[in-house]
Amino acid sequence: MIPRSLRLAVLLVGALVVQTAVLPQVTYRGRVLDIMLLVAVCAGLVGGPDRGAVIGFLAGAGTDLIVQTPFGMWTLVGAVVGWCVGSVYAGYIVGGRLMRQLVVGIALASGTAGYVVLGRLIGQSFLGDVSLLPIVSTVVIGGMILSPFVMRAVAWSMNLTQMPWDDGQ
Amino acid sequence: MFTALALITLDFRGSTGIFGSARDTTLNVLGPVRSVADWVMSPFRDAWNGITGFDELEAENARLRLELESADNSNLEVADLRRIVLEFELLEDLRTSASLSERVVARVIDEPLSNFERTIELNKGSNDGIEVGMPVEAGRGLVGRVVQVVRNRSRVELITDASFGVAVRLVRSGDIGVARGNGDEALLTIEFVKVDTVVIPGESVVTSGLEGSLFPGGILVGTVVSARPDPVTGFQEVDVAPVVDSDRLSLVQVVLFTPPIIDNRPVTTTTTSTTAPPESETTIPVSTTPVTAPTRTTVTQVFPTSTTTAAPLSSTTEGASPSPTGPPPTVLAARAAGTFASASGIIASMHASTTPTLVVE
Repeated sequence: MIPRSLRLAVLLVGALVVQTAVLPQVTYRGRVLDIMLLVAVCAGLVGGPDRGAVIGFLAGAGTDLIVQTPFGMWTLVGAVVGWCVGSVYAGYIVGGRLMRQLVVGIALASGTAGYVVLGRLIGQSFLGDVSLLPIVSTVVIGGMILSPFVMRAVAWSMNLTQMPWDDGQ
Repeated sequence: MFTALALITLDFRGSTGIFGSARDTTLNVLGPVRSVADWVMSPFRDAWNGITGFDELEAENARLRLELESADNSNLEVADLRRIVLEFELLEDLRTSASLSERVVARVIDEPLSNFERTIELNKGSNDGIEVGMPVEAGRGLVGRVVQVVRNRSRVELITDASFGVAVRLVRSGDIGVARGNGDEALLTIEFVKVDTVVIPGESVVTSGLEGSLFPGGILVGTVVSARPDPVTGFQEVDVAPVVDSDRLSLVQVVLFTPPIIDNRPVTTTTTSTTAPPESETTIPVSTTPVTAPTRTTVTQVFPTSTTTAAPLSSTTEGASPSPTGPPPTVLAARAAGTFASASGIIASMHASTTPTLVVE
């Protein structure tokens, strides 16, 4: 039996490797998918607000290791997104696969836009010059395609034998 | 959440050593993995790029054919001019010129990791003499500057990155400005160009090489696309198309140029004049360790009583060599203070000293 902490480490390191080694090879017009933010979103969906916040925090910290912006920005965004998705999906949304995809899309868009807003708030003025819409489009569409696989990986890291929504459906 | 805020605060408070080391370690550890992934993924990447970038490749091919035809005609003239410039630089001992700096050829091994940063990764690092801040160029012009270095890898911030800035000179008019990237847009924008300067589309733009600039002079940056006056600032904004297509780089040259250091720190208020000066004079000591000559920087800011000036009217350095060959240890931190800020400061100071001061009513 693999300990849950080890599974979580494998998930995060694996996601970081995919983010840095695989996804930059398949960019679309210089824009790259954001699997670390997707991990945070899926953790909120699968594990609820608390696990979502913790895994989102760690995934965001992983992203902060590979970018040049102040350390902690993606950490904060990941934690907030993971917690919000977990809270909203568990408490207020009832729906099937389509609704989950919609939540993933909205969360990814919010997280990406939130990063820009946070950057502007703390003085990273250059973030106001980037064209946000193409970036959000790429991240959302790519994230929605990859989300079923990432949800499975997140569930494995939490040692879940089935998804929470499988009980009621 | 509070931990994340604490991390941001720590990073801003200057504990960058910890985070910098963590980032360097990550770059080192993931480097071999990424090299393997690059090798494995290269057929898929080529196929993907062929699908998504076919139209661009076709257009670029046509453009390059045209450029090749025109370049053949001017090669001899350029070679002759280059020889004359080199001789002149040797005579005048202009050591900040790009043509006199050594270079390290490096291969581009990775693409941007983030949507908000335009960076590439090179297969050479500190073992080859590369340092943070060094300019990087491809065969035709400026690519960017080194922002992170480990033993055998380095990361380069591209000129199209939104946080990038470099002091530039318009070749035809000789006027200077600051070129900055616009994120994922292809064009650069030059600011602080005087409004009465005639700017012609197609005009070449090169790095200025002003004293204190983080880049050597004479590196081609791009060509002018358009210009528009900004009535608010009293300057022009000039759009420039970079000569280097940063999306299709394979080999680059790192210019082993150590930029002279300028002090970007805020000025503290300590008056040194023995007699009452007509304007407020502020002085900051910048040396805390013994150096050969005592170094003090005096910045005089003149503010007429009824108006506000846009830039300091004069800036001088006492006791410092006119052409410093090495940075004093106390101002090394200024190197990391950001290209755009320093370039803007230089340009603002030059305009302030050579043109009437901009007055904001």
